[in-house]
Amino acid sequence: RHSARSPVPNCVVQPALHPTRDRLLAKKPDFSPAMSMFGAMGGAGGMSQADQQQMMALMQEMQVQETLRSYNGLVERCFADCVESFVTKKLTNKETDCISKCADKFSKFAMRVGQRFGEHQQKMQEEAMRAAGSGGAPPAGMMPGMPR
Amino acid sequence: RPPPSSPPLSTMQSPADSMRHELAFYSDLFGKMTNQCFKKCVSRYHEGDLNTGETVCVDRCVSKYLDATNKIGEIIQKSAEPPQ
Repeated sequence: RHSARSPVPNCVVQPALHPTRDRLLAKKPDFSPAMSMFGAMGGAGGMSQADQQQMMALMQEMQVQETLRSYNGLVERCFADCVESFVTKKLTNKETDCISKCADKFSKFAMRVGQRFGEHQQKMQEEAMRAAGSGGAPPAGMMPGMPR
Repeated sequence: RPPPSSPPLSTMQSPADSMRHELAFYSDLFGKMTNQCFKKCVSRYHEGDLNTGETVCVDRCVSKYLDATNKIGEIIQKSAEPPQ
């Protein structure tokens, strides 16, 4: 019977002690599955240099946030699906195997979603340009109240 | 045909603001779509790669999800218009 221990360490965990997250942050953003979605958004015409720079900075910031968020989301998902018992303190081989496959599968899945999404966006942009060119009404964008 | 007169999201935003909103919107859409389609298309973790059934499912799921998004956007847009 071991003594009760506070689940939260007394010291504050320094950010540097999270090697994986720091590795992800240090990486260039183009590996993230969400990147294929951001890449498909395309440039907006008619913005000043300053606005464009602000946009680039904002997009980078969002990519970072998205990367970290999806990291935690993936852990949560694979833990939920793969870990059931707490007989031991360490992950069993079966659990480790399940988690690896889960993470692998989800990453590939998200990348594919991003690709399809990007293609769809591109098609919509082309249709909008064609409609505008022929003088017809442009199709409604996805966001209500924001025609493309 | 003129655009609707009172959309729920006023187009009187600065380009930077509307760009920010758009980025946030699409980021959220992407996350939700990925989660929903994964839930519906993947049930087992036999291997790390996507099998044929899963790839077909994800492509169709994305298509349907975006269709639904468009459809709902139209409905929201319509309900925000003043009565004719």
